[in-house]
Amino acid sequence: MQLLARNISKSFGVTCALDDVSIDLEPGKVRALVGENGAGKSTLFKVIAAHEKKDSGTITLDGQAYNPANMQAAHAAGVALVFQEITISTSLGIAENIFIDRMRHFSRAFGIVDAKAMRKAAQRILDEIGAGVSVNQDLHQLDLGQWKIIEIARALSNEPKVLLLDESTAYLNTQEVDALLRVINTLKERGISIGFVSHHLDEVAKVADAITILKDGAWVGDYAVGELTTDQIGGLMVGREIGHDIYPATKSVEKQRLWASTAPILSLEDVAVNGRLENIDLTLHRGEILGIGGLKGSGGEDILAVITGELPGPTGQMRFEGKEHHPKIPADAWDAGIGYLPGNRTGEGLIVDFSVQENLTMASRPRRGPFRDKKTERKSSELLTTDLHIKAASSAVPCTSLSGGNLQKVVLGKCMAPNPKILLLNNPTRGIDIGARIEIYRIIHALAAQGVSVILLSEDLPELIGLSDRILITRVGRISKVFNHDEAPTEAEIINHMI
Amino acid sequence: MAESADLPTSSTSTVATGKKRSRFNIRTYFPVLLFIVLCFIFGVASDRFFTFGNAMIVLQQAVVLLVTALGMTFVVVGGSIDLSVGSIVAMSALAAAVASHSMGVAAIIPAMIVGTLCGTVNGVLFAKGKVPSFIATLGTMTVYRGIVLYWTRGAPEEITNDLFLAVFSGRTMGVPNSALIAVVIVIVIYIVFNNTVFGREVRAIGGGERVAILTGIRVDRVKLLMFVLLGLLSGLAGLLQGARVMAATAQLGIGLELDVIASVVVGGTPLTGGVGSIQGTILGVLIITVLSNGMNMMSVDPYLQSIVKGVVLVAAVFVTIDRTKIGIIK
Repeated sequence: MQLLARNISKSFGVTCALDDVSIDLEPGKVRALVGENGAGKSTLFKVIAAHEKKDSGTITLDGQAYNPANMQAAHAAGVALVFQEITISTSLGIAENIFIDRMRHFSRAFGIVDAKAMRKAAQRILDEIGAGVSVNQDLHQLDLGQWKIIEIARALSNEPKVLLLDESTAYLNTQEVDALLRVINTLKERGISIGFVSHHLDEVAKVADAITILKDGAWVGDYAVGELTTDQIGGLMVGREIGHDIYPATKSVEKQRLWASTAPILSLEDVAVNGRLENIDLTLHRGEILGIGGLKGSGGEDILAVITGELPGPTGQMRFEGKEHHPKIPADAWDAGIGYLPGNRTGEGLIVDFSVQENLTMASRPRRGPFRDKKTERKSSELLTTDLHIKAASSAVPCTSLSGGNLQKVVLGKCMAPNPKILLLNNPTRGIDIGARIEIYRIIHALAAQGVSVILLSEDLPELIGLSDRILITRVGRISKVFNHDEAPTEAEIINHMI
Repeated sequence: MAESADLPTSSTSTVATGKKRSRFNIRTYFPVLLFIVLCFIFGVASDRFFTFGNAMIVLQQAVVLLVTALGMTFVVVGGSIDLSVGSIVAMSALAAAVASHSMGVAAIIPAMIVGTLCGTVNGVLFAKGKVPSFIATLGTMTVYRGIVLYWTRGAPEEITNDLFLAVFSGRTMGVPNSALIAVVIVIVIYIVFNNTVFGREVRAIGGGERVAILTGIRVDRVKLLMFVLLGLLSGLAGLLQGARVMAATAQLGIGLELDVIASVVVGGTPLTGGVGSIQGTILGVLIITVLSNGMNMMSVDPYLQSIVKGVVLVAAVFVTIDRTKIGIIK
């Protein structure tokens, strides 16, 4: 079905999220929707799927007026949305998750659900899109990419003609993304009109037919894929020239010589954790950026967890600044001078209801004896807000109103405040637009130049290659390859060692 | 695993835009308004209400509740609950009563020690034993009360030491000494809550425990300390309560935990944790106390009083709860 949205406007209070935006979705074609965080992409999709009510504008489906009152009505009309956030319920099985809003269709006498029929129907949908998942599997054994595919199966359960995917690849690694893109291509062949939001322009190039760019709630332009280069698209998204090198230059020769001749600041020798890590050897030098790459669950996060004390008591040797390092809880690592930026900013990185200042000073907790040093709290927060260009109405504002990029800068600022000697970063630019990304890269690079050692766990391969001095690849709990300074790996080479 | 969308999550966020909505004001000022309305109603209903004498009675009645509620504020802001405070009050009153015969005023020390020990047991069960605080304190509530029953065999332990009674339940220039002691405690607790690192760590744990752990806060230690503090304050409250009735009985403090929790909540500290204030708790205590005091003056049937108290509690939470912030309301 052809979906035409015209002159859509939507405001939340005084914030204008969409200003007179129009978009076309054609059957059998994928239209990518790109733009910075806050550009209005999610809002546009939510309006089309009737999750939000538009303030003005019209939408037609194959020429007929389309004005559903809620998501169920939109679903019935043939429009389905897959949210950016995970909406899988882990207390239910896969089939129930797929038919979560339509289980009534399988109820027989006395409201009892025909579970067998539901599982069969669910499996059929999964097989049709080549998911490779069985409904009898345990959700907890599946990875995030498979969860996303289950969510897509849910959206497909009502045979929609229009499918909207909001940043479905945000938390997926390369393998999972490829699997998802293959599913999307299958859906294209079925004649479904697809809308696809993504921050990753390479994915857009792989699967989209057309691109619409939004900026600050306004429509910038519609382009055919291939009409513009990635840099040009990025430039239009941000409104200025980006240039090719978003990763600051690394790898100075003197530094490498210094690292070769001095003792490492952190070393892991034959570190193992039952069932998760085996034989981990790792060294990190002062001012070095060590990248860790690998599939989700292959050990990268566990290595960070062991260093920060979230996974206490591994076997093997860990030495920090020459001394034995046995953190039992993260507090031990922080006290020693090792900071940690977690992978999930709203769930683990900061307390969203607390103010910017409270969050920024949560790790450093300035004190005079048992008392809070409120003056230093304020000063430290002001300094960090300026240095990191954190955009918030004021330091006392709760972080609920901050965009993803700014939230991440707050978490980063918090980690920097106690002046750690080592900073462990878990996917620091996950789900963040290119503008904020560039700023974060600049900050990481500046930290390394000042002598802070960084371990960067990242599923974004260009980022991993661009920022790291050396790269470790993990596979099934072990280290499969180490790329040294002089070896500049390609993405393909890295993937080879990941799988 | 999931993350919120990167657009503003709260469409009713007022602070970012600087525009105030009327609902916002009602939420913060409701406790004050409620207090004023109650005083007005009782002042009109009885001419004895707005007298110095009655104000002193209210203060005296509020003291035990206040001292305990100050400690409970920490525990609730920290995301937990303590149901054993009434029993701790009974235990420490008993310790003070028994010690008062030989130690006189110094009986305050055994009272504080007993309270601290009880709080420590609670804290260890919760922070180290990982027993949910509701269950742990439900258990200790029964155990502590049992200890008191066992010791006293139902008979009251009388307090006869004159100096003890003069200091802890007497008056100085018309003002009850217990109220003066309470004021000192309020000042100290206010400083601890707002100006110490401990206070902010308690709030961080209640606001987001996982974040607190990953940020390097020693969560187990802070959790233990907040229960120890509540135990200590309950110990002091028990001392004052025993002095007031001149005896320690096994019935002392029964049901106190409900009034304490109600005071904390009515004062604007939600049970979900992370948010709260000492001044709010003080107001909550005053509201609960004035409510009973006023209803007594109006000779309201005591059974009816319970109904009114319950209605006020639910109404206060209904009006003041921030539904945009609390994700799941159980």
